[in-house]
Amino acid sequence: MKLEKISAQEQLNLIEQTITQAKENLSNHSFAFIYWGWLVSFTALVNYALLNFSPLGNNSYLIWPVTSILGIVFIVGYYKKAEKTESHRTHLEYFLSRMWIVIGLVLVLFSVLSPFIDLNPWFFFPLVAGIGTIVSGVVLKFNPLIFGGMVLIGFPFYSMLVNGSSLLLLYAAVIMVSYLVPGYALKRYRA
Amino acid sequence: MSLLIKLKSASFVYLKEQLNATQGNLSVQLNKLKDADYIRIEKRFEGNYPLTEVKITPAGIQAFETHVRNLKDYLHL
Repeated sequence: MKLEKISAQEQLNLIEQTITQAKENLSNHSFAFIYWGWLVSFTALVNYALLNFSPLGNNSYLIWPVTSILGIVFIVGYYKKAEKTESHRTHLEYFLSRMWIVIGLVLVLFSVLSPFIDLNPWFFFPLVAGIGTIVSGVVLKFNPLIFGGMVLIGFPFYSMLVNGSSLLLLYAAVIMVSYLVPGYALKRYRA
Repeated sequence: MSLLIKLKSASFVYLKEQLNATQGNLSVQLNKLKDADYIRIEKRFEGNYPLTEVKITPAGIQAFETHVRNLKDYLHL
C-alpha cells in the first residue's frame, strides 16, 4: 500500500518535472521585435531625411508600403526556413505567430492603401501594433513588452505635441523604446 | 504525455533527447499511445531527411487530465 502511494507521488513529481522541462524559450520571440524595430525606425528616419532634404516631398511617404512589403517577404521566408528545422513548438508560440500574421497582414494592407484612403496612419498603425505588443507581453509575462505596447498606444495622444516632420523622429524614437529595447531584453532573458 | 501536453508539436528527436529514451523504447511507447488515439504521428521529409512529428490529440489531453486527477484524489491532494 505504502509503495503504491510513493509510486503515485513519484508519478505526479515526474509529470510536474517534465511539464517544467518544456518551458517557453523567451529569447526565441525576440527576433521579430528586433527586426521590425530596426526596420520601422530606420524607415521613419529615411522618410524624415527624404521629406526635408530631397525634392520628393510628400511622395517620400511611399517608402512605407515599399519597406513593409519587403519586410514581410523577408520575415515570411525567415520563419518558413526556421519552421523546417524546429524540433518542437509550444501552444504559446503557435498563438503568437498566428496573431502577428493577422496583425502584420492588416498593417501591410493599410500601409499599401493609406495613400488612397482617408486614414490617419499615426493613429491606426501604433494602435494596432501596440495591441499586439501588449498581448505578447501579457502572455509571455514580460513587462518591458507591456510597457512598450502602452507607449505605442499612447502615441496618437502625445504626438499632438509635435509638429510637421518631427513626428517621424518621434515615431523612430518610440519604436526604439517599444520594440528594440524589449526585443534586446527578451533576447538576453534567461528564465 | 507530460511533455506533449505543453507542446503543439514535437519531433521524435526532441522527445528522445528530453526523455533520455532509446529510439526503440520511445518508438514502442509512441505506438502504444497512437493505438489508443492519445497522440497523432505524422511523417514527412524535410529536404533529404525524414521527420517524425508527434501531436497530442483531444482524447489524449482528456485521458492525461483524468490520470492526473485520479493521482491527486488517490493522494488526497
